[in-house]
Amino acid sequence: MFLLPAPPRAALASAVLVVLAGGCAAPAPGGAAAFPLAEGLLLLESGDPAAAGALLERDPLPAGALARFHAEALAARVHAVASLGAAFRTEITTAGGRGGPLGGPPSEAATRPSPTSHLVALLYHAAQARAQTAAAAADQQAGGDAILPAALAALEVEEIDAELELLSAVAYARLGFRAEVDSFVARSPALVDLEGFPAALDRRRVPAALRPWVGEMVSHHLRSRDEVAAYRFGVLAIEGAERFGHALPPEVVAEIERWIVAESRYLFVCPESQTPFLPGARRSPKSGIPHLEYVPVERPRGGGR
Amino acid sequence: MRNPSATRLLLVSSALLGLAGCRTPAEDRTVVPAPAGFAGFPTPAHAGEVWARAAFVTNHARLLGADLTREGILPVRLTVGRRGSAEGAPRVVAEAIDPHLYLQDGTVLEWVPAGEVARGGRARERVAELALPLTLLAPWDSAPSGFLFFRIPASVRVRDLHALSSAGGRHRELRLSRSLLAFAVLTDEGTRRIHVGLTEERLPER
Repeated sequence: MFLLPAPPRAALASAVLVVLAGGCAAPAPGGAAAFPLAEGLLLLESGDPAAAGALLERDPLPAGALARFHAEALAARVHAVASLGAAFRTEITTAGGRGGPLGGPPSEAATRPSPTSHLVALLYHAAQARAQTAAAAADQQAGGDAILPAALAALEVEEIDAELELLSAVAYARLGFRAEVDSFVARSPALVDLEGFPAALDRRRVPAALRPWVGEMVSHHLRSRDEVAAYRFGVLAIEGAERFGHALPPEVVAEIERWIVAESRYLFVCPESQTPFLPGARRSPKSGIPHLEYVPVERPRGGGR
Repeated sequence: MRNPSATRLLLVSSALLGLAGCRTPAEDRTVVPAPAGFAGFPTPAHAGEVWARAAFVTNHARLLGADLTREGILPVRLTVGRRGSAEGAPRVVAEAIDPHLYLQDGTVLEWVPAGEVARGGRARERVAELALPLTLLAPWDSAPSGFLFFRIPASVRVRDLHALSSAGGRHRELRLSRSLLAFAVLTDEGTRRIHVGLTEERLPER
């Protein structure tokens, strides 16, 4: 998903055993070679962000700027993945449960996964990494990447910095902080180009399950600027969410659909059958033309807005 | 020339380490400073027509009668109100509020009901009086404030505006003002979750 092809199961198991065997040892010294970057990457790529997160927390951070940059960037990716249905941090919910007013005793409490904790942690680690981008880039120029795992040494620091900026923007979007998201999209012209959108996400190695969120935040940003483009990114987000296993919460999908149906200044209709956009459907029931190819027409008076 | 804020940070970190009973960074754990480029989360913030502002009052003992951080409790003053119509009758209710505080590194602080905070005397009375009121949301301009209380986990030490979070092979120095508060209000359509950043407040000295 991120950087490496899926490793063979036996090789992965060996790597994990090596890592676990080292778990009882004293903390590693601060060198990049000693910090378990490669092992953490393997665990994350194998779909175990919890083990990767625990491993990356185990030792002191490495000393060099480049290795430290990669350690924090990898931790940010771990929390990005964990926030999408693989949360290993938990919190106690009291919804529906405290017995009386805020002073009353708890009558029900349950532990649940905490994606919010992971989103906050993502922002923390991304900020830690990005604070060292300049020093890490200089380190890389000077050949400091020789001690990194091959998969990381091949990456440009600036590319990872752009990836982290995008992951952070998605975290802000998921927390509902639109101003931060708008300011990010406004300075990312590559993201608002529909044709170049997939390539822009590939360059930033955005995990598949996060891509609908990027579509959603671009769509939302464009509503006040280019409603036709906002429609298309909205449709991309909805379809992507379905393809990647409901990556957007139902209320977010409903909000996009509500904007399309009731709040845009246009009606979006099938170019052949003139059937309007239909929430929940993916194409015209008459012509079979997908929603993405619908065209805008002026909304009749009294027809919304 | 010495940088006063850096000196202050060093002093606070040293004090926190002392509180934590930890060995020094030169031994087996490093202290990771708070990230310089992270400005925190917006406050006030809103979800639809519901607006909120959250603050850590550094000298809250003046209001609450005790420095609750010494008792393992972090008080947060929350103002919540509405802008626009009262459609849906948004309200703060115990069954829905479900608040959580997330420190800068994502560490979760669980909510403690006001009745479980401050064991006796004046502080107990003040905590009960100043807890967040359960009510229909008022217009934002006149929205009331009240305190929510969160339990500080054993892995975290709080001093002044800083926290020290310990996990694995390192300590993290955190700014409380970079924390995130999450809670929900109830409307006729269901619950609405709101996220708001924490700011710092200091009550004027008498």
